[in-house]
Amino acid sequence: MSGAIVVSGLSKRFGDVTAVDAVDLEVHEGELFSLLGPNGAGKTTLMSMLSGLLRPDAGSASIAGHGIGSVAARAALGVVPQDVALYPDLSARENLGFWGRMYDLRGDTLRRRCDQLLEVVGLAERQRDRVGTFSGGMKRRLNIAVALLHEPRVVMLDEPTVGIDPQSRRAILDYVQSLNRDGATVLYTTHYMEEAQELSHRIAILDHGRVLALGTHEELVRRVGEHDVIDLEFAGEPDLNELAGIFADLPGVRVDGADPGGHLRLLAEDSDTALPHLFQRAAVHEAPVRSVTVTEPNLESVFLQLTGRALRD
Amino acid sequence: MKLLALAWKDLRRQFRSGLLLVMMLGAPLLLTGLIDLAFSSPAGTPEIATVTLAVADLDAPPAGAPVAAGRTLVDALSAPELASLVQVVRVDDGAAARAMVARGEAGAALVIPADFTAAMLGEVASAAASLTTDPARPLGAGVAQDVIQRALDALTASALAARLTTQSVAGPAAGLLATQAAMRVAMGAQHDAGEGVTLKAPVGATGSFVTRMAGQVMGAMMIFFVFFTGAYGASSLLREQEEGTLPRLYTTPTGAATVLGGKFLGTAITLAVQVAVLLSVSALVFGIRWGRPAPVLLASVALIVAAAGFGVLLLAFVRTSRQSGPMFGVVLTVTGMVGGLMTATFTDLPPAFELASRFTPQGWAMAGWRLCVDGRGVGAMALPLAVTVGIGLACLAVGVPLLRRRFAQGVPS
Amino acid sequence: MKVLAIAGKDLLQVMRDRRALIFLLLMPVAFTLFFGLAIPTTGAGSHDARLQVGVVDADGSPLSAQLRRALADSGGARPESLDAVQTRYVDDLVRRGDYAGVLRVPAGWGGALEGGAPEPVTLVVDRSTQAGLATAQAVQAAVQRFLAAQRVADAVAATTAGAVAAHGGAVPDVASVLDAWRSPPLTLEVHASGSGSTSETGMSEGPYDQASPGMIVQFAVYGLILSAMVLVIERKQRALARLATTPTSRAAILAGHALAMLAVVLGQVLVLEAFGQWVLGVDYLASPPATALLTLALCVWATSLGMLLGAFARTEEQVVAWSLVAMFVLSGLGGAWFPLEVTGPTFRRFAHLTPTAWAMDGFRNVLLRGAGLAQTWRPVLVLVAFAAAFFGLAVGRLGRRPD
Repeated sequence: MSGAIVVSGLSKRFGDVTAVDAVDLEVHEGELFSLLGPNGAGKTTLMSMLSGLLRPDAGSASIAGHGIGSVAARAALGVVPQDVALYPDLSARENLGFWGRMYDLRGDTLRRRCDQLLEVVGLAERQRDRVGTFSGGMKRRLNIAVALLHEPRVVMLDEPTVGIDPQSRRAILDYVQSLNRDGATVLYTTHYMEEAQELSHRIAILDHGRVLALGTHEELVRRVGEHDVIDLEFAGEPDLNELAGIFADLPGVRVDGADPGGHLRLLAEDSDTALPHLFQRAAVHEAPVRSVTVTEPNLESVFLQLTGRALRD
Repeated sequence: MKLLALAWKDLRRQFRSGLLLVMMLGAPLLLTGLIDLAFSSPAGTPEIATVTLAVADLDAPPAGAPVAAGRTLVDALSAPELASLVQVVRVDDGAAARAMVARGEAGAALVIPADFTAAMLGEVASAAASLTTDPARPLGAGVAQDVIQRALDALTASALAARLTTQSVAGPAAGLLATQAAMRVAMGAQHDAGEGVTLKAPVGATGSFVTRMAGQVMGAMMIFFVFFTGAYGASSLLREQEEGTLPRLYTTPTGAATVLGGKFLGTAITLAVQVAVLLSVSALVFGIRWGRPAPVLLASVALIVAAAGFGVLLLAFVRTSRQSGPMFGVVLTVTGMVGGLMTATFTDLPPAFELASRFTPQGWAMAGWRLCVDGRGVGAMALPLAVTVGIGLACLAVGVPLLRRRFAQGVPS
Repeated sequence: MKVLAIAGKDLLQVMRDRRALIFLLLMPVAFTLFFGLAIPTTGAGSHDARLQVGVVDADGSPLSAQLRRALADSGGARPESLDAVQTRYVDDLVRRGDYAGVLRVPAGWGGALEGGAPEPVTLVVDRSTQAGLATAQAVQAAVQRFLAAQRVADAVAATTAGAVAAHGGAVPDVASVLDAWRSPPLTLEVHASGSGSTSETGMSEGPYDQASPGMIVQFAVYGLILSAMVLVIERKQRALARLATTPTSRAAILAGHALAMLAVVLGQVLVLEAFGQWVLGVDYLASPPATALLTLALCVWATSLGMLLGAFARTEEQVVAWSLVAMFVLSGLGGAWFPLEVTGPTFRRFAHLTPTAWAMDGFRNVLLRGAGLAQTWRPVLVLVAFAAAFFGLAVGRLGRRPD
């Protein structure tokens, strides 16, 4: 497997803000790779540099072996921008025809690809209607279709599911997977960890412009130690240090931290066996539990552990 | 050809916009149509409505006077051949006549004084008839004044004949001879009522007053709205950036030069279509003669270059497409107004207006079209054509680098 | 109170848009000033208003010299002899506008006139121009005057031939007739009605008497863009439908919107009238009650048009396009740009199908004739009738479909 996207030391600053900070990564040929990070992590800036819209301040990158920004790199790439970028006063078919020409398609090839993609995104019936009359989901689907016209080796999708209904979202995730099955390398950015988890072969977690962790879902989750996270919230104003001491000697349970506001975070090898003991000790020490949250290890907990913040903050 | 695909896409979008079609074709044709309808007439000159003339004849001829000048004047004004110009309504006194004007029932009121015949006969030095006009209808007043003055001239001629006769001949026969001379003049006037002047149009002059006026208005409106199209075409770059399609274009294997070139080509073709449609439709519908083919072609090209260039320059000064509408509206209206597009048919404009118009591209374009409509050759139009094109190119020279920096920065060409 | 709340909200939306100031006030003021200044003020400055007429005198007789003098005396034309070179390019000189016309007096013209078989002179003139039309008229009048003088001289000579032969004395020639004509026994004095002033032409119309009310009427229509836009956006965003779900009656909603539009257009018209009155010297206060009634009727009608536009337009783009067309048609046809008097009969008939023509009639009545209420009720009635019809249509539409 060779690198379909190779990024090395890529940086971009906007004034005092470093949006992308010396990022290194390699996306293999045929891989479905996700960039996961909260809003403002630098995902879109990274994508913009890869698609040739922004010049990096430092570092280099290549798409299918061609330097980013080059005509060859752009020809190998299909970009799905975060916001719908289509001509509302042209029909679905006219949009596809126009964008196809921009990707150097013409004649029968162009017609055939338009037909195929209209079928794939389920817009064949509405192909003569102006895009301005479409629903948000339909526009999103067409927005993706435009990037696939020239059968690119590499497809980049920038948060394609933001703000759309669950059905359209499901359909989009399915396209992305089938696209990848058909051989395309996919770079997918999202701040939904479920999407990254479901779709990707490998995931890079990005925050403040840096890659914090990179690996398969299993590899990343293993970093938090395969422990369940138990969050106990107590009523009143209990002495959390004292409670931490009480729980510390339970087998298979480790205290991870305490938050002001009555939260105690524990790591348990098996939350099912640990919970009855926890409740019992709390009752004995007259510390009434108001709520319990059990989180099995996932990307959210990975992000939390890496940054001390929740992904959605 | 990506350039053509880009231009074709813009053309399709523009010709689908109802507002743009109204601005490009509807408005100029509508305005010219209004003017044409307002002033056209079978004679090809503006027609003025018949003026109702309220007449109070207070003339009291001296006893034994051979003529009643007041009545003669009223009869002359009531002659059938003047019926299309003035319609005489007799009233009893001056106040009643003037009241009719004040109420808007008459366009003018004529009061013939008591000593009118006496003045004609030389018994008093002179007498003045009084014409009261409706200030709200100055043209009708002018017609009435003209008609009355001609009738007065006829009476004056007779009076002068009598007066001069008595000066040449002394003695008892003088009175009789004077009357004879006056009669002779009056009869003679009836005999040779011929014009005395043959009017001849200069060789090469085209069209009637109304088609020429329609041509000037149409030319001015065409220039006015063509500049809007130029600005709108340029600002579509801004809209594409806001819609995200411009950045997306740069992710495709298409160079910045091609993208900007396609935009410019699209605007130029739109402008050419607009000019061609306006010229041909107005020629067919209003009978406007635009001049010879070569000058018309050159004037069109100059106009297109200037409009496209000015649009590109204006775009450099707006940040959002929401701003662009009002900004273009105000700037193009003001420059168009100063350029003389709203006053194309005015004559005797103060010299400052003419001077000011030369500081706008529209003023130079209009100067070129005026010569074109006058049937002049390319040679006569060289200066305005050159300046119009020059302004357009200068705007492009300033505007294009600014646009490149703004809309294609960092993008490989 | 809800009506006021809705109106207040609309007003806020309109006024928050800084473009409002441009469209409502700055543009009409600029247009008024421009058109007022563009109209030439007669007799002002050193500019000679007389038309320059070239003369090619192939006759060279004393009579042709007198003809030329009659032309100079006429006040309408300024005769100027052409040199030999110019004589060859008469058509070009006229077509290019170097001369408003060229008068050719053929050789032998004077002799033919004396012989009792007058020949016409030729005037080369382009009557497709304003100057050409005026020149033809001025030259024709001067030639008429000259021929009349010639007839007088002939008549006197013929009548007195016997007596002069018997008793002696001088027979007057054309020159002395033209001299005598400089102080004619019968004259015409022209006054403008209502003004009491006497002038050569009798016109007391100031440069702004057309431009000021014209632009007020035009921009009252154009200013609707903003108000109608509020209504259309409201419909598009379903805010109108939402309002209808609150315990607010549909009548109150519509009245609220209409009230806001009325306030905007009334404010605009009043400011422009004040500008006309105190800056441009247009006499809106010639009859305050008539002006007030007319202003109110104009604004009510404009509001009804705004409601109509807001009720039927589906997009903002349509609002802009329709109000542009409405502005052009209603102001052009309604005499806001040029007095209807100068237009042809067909046009005048069409014009009075528009409410704007009636509004202009009303304003010109007040400004130029000083007309009072008695002459204002008719335009006011027509405006109100149009307003009622437009309101009816708008309410019918909005009432049926609140979206």
